[in-house]
Amino acid sequence: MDISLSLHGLMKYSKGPQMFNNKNLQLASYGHLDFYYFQSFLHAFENTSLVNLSGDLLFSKDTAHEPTTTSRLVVYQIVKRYLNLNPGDIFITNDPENGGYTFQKIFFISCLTPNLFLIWNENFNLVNFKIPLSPLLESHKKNSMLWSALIDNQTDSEKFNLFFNSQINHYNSCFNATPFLDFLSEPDFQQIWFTTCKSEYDRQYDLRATGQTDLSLKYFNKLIKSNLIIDERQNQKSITLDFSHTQLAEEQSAASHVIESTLIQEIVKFYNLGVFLSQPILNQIKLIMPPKSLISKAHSKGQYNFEFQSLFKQIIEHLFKKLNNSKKLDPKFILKSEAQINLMEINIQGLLLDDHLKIGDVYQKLTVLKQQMKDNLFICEYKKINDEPMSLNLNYLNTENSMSFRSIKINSQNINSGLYKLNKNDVLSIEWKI
Amino acid sequence: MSDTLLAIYLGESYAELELRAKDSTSTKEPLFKKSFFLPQTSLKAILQQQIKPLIETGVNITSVYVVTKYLDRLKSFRLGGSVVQVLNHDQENNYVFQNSSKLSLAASSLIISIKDHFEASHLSSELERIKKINPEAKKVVISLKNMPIEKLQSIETFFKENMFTVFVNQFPDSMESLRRTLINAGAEGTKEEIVTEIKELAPNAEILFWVNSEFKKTFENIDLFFSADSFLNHTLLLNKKNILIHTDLERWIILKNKYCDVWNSPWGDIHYSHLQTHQLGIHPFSEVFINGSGHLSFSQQPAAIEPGPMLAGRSVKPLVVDAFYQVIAKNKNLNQMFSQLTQTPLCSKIDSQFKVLEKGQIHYEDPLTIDIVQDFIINKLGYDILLFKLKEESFEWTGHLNILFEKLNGHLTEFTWTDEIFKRATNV
Repeated sequence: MDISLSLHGLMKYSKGPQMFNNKNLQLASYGHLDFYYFQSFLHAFENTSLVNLSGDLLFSKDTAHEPTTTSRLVVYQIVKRYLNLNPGDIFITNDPENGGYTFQKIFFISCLTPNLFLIWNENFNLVNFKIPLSPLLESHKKNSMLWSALIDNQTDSEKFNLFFNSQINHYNSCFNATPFLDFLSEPDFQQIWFTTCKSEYDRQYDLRATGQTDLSLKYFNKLIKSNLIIDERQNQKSITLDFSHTQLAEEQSAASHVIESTLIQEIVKFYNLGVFLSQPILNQIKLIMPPKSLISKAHSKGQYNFEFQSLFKQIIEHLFKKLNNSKKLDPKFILKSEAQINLMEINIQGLLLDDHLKIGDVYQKLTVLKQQMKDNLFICEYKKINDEPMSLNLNYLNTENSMSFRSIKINSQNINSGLYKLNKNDVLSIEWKI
Repeated sequence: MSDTLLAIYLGESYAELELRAKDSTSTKEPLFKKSFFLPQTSLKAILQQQIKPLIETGVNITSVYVVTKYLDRLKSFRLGGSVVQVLNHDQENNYVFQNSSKLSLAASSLIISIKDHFEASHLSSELERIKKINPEAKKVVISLKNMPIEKLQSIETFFKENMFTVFVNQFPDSMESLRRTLINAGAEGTKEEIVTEIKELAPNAEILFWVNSEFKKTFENIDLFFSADSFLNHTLLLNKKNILIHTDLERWIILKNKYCDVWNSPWGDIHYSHLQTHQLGIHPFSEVFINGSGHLSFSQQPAAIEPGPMLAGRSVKPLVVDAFYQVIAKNKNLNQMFSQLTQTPLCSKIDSQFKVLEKGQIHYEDPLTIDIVQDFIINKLGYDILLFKLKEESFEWTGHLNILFEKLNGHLTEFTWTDEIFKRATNV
């Protein structure tokens, strides 16, 4: 495709035949409006990144909860280092100890063009086993060995097929979007985009306070030390988050990329840079996480990822608030409970946050004894009445401050993060004030 | 006295009306045909001021065919401010559990909680309490599980005797079903408003709404949220095309005759099979403004219908459609809606606003001018269409703003809702 970029980044289009076809499209850079290209291109994905051959992040998109920004970059780097990734290839993994998050979050690492790689992740709750890095698609052909072992062999093979086929369809819709695809792969276009992102970062950085602030806290007897430093030296406008001296990991821990993902999302949110998150911005962010600490050691099943992301999200929100407030109004840090529930076999999820609550409709699988909301206090009691296997996977940032008005119980006993088997006549009860 | 048919497209922001003699519907001879920008008038005013004089000359309207998107106006509001809910004890506000950040569907203070053993006097005293809170409450949703049928019927009768419109949730265990029932109750007032205004004009006319591929007299109110989509899809199928692109004043979408089982409504998820549409390009009502970084931007949320675009003459904030004021001013259908656009002062005002936006950009030596903004908007729509792999021969392009995208689509055909309505009306 013939792409030429003018001095101002704007290409003049020639008058073509007056029929809708690709040739009539003016593929050119419109400066800061270029994020619309990426948004359109990635509309089918919720958690996704585009990177170029150098591994530089071009665009990133994440949901508000369980961000995987850095995790996606980690799995991409693993593939790039050990495997060949060519157009038409898709690799998958869900290994929490190698860039993944939990078994239910499947990462797809793909190549669109030699200079454009698409990485995304999607939840699939029926997977409760580890998938090591494996080829799903090779030169657009399904890997028959993987397909028969992982997909066709499952009890719910129809659902597995549906899920993986729909992901391949999303990939194909991007792959077939020529000449759009070629345009996004152009080094000239990518360079203009990086310059735009950096200038937007500089502008937003200058609008906010610089300086240093810190916070030390104990979360269930584990010391977490955080230090936020925002300063400009030698024309480098940097943001540093230093977690040195944070306690070593015991049972509860999360991988550094899991924590980084949430920190990066909070930084771009605070600086209003969501659509511009790309390599030049990542280059300005320095995150220091001591090795083998509770924020750098991966848990084999990612059991505490939600809990730690929620915790560190609140820490960085507080640090930014503290730095940008006047000293007289130094805010006190109050950690708030948040939880994620997953009733595994019946595929029902719940999200219990500080300001809102979401619980899927359970009535077909559990007896609803109580489900009421009065004055923002949500109370529900669900009873299991059959013998079918059912387990609750609970990810719970359970804080002492919130215990009087937020609780999750099985048969009146408080529970914490973990996997619980629900037996016949067990009652799951939740009280949550927002 | 001559018998006529009235076709109405009642959108969120504009309306099209056409009156034809009953025996000439196929010859397309309108007795009246006009488009209106709604914030400047109302359906009632149009009917009374434009159509009623014709009735006084001996025109008799026998049937009124309505395609609507008017209920979309409700989408940014809490519903059910005057809807009473009768629920089991311990189930108060249970519908909010699915997503508490969604808009409310009913007022908590208007809940009547029923225990397994309740006295008839409980209903009377509760109704008395509710009447003190909201004397206008005239609709009730009954959603009771494990209740004997006789008791359920007695509750229903009680409210009917007290002049309530009753909506019964047939599946009280299901919160999706409860939300659907509450939406039906919450939208009742708006539907009644449309019906009443038509009846005031033509008391004996039959009123049919386009719902699920045909004009119908009876339907659920929730169906009206998808009346226009379903109508466009019918156009797609009639013309034997695979894809329909629709670009009118209020939305730019692509539609593929694909249905989705769950409606992610502003009030929560509802199990309701409906056509899937995808937004294309920038929203026509997105505001064009200079953001905090000094760049020209488009607002993520479209501007409110009132005062609408500058084209309508009352707003001072330019929207995406305003960037095309010159093309719109030359189009007969569109300048009917925006009559002030034919006058030079409004055109100058819009032009000046875009000049201000040009000069306000931080890189003034290299600004996005109105021409570049137009190019971007057209191309953005083109990129989005491209991602759907549109084949030239398989698409239908409807909506009166298709004229803006001539560059992308050479063979433009004129589209009016009422022409299309009459094509279906003759088959009723």
